[in-house]
Amino acid sequence: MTQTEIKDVLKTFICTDLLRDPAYPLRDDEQMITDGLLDSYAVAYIAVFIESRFGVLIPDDELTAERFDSLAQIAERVIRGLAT
Amino acid sequence: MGRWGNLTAPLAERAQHRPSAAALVVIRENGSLDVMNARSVYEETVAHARALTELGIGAGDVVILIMGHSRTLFTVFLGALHVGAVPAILANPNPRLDQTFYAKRVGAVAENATAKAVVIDSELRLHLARVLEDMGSVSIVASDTLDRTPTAVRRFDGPIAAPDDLALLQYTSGTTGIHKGVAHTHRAILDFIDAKMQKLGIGRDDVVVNWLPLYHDLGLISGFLLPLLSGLKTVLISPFHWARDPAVLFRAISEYRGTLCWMPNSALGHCVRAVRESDLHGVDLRSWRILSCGGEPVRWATLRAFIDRFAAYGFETNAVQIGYGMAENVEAATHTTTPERRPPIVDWIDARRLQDEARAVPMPAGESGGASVVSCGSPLPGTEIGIAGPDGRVAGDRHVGEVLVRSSYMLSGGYFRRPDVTAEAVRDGWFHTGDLGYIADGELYVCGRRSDVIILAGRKIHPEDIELIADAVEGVAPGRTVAFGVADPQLGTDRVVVLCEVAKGWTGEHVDIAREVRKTAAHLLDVTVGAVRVVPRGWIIKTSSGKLARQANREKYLAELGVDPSSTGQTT
Repeated sequence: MTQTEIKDVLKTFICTDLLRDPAYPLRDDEQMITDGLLDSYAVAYIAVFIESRFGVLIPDDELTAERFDSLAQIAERVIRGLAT
Repeated sequence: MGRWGNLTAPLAERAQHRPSAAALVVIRENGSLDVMNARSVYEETVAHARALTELGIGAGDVVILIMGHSRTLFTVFLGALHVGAVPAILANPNPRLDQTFYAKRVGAVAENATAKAVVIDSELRLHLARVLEDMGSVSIVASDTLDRTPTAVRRFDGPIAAPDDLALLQYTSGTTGIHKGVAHTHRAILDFIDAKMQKLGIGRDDVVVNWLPLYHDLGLISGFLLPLLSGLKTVLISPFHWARDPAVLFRAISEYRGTLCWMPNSALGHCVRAVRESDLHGVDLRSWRILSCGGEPVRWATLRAFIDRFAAYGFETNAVQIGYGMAENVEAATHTTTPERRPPIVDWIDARRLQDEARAVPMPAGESGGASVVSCGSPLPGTEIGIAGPDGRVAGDRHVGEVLVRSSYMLSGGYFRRPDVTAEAVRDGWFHTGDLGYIADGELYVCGRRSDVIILAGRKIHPEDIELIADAVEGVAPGRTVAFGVADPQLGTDRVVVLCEVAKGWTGEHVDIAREVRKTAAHLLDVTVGAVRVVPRGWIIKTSSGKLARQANREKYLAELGVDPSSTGQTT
């Protein structure tokens, strides 16, 4: 999967399942938790999704709002997980 | 508990007679453990009591604590109680919250409480110091500078508070600018603990596992003081740790044979959604005797989903029990009974007649037009409940009205330094809760709020605060905003919806308005807005009453989405 494809899958999940607004124009660098689009619970839901969709298990201590704030950060982490 | 004179007396006695009994197990953020026995809890309490005394803090002085969920917080709090000071734990700031704004809020609380000192974790100290330096008399103390070296406990180090002295203040979590601190005496808290233990049949073998923050009444009273003072093993998890990895709770219950745990409805939804199957390997929940839900309206669908998900690990259906309470009554006012271990009663009522006649008329389960309301049980020993009828008198069974509570331990110290607010809330001896409900066969059913406050994961959000923020966003027509809550069955709590009319001549993108509303609500109030909809001019219905306007706009919004408003009330 390319980085763009991964980002698209994540974006669909975030906008449809978490935000409940599939048409939301989410930007790659939008600070989702810091700027109030999602609450900090969302980090845990994203981790569950990443594990089931990409088979990448993110260790608990990495699940912080700082590391999971933007689509770009999350996609990068998934790519790193897929590479190992 | 009635035999004790104050809150730290049981700690002193236990340190003497059962010094090596396990008392607190603190699970740190990194998963490592900090275990304290009865002796170390007491020695550290005394050490912190001395450190506070050296700072000039003594009997009757209010001390605000803003600290992470750690051993230091627990024993500084106990140390303050020990010297007869009056601690108030406030929520520590979420990283996204505007620091200056937060500091101003703490300053306002410190002013209301006439606080003598604020004990705060070092990293937060500087910002607060800048805001509070103008207040002159409040000293800011970094928590890590307090000496907690245990030395031999001396005779004069015993607890000093008298039963009717004020013990602590609880500032209700909310967004409003009015700061109300509920004050309680040592006696009231000890009496409440007795009542709750009796109601739930809590005994020596129980083990409490708690992740709730101590600035919340459920976390402070039932998750911390109740087990610690009655000598039960208490396992504490940081709320931040739990939020990102809720499986930590299940692993802790399995490992420590936990029997009791309290949490709000939305937390159950979070567990169902965020616990990974891979995190539960080897977990055994058969010891879990009571999962007590409280702090926000309970929804049967959320309870059901939780039971279905965790039954495979030994979680029993009958472990689910419901409580209803408020800081004013120390914590719980009612609770479902557990000795017979029956599941809570789910009452099916006619939704339309509830709306039109303010009566809860039973109807067959699952029939269309029906709403399910989960019983919150009967009053705790020493507490009475009633429903205010339209004529102001206490109404009969199945009449819906404001829930009234009175007890011997209720508002024992009133709202701190706010006799006006106390007099408004307590009339004819009854505390007026602001919740709507009815009583049937001695059990309380809560089905809404008198005001239009939004309950977001146990926190009360005042819609006017959000409207004020949205109003100031560029592109929004002044005065043309409305905020309300819509129940979200998947989250098991409300979602905040904000509607804004676009200003005349605004040429920007609607999504930029939405982004700014969300951002400001997060930075200033730490509120996540679930949906922002920018509507054309003239869309919002205006009436003379803010509450009616919110209801009308909520119905219009849901109708446009094709949702039946009665299906998203608090009763489902």
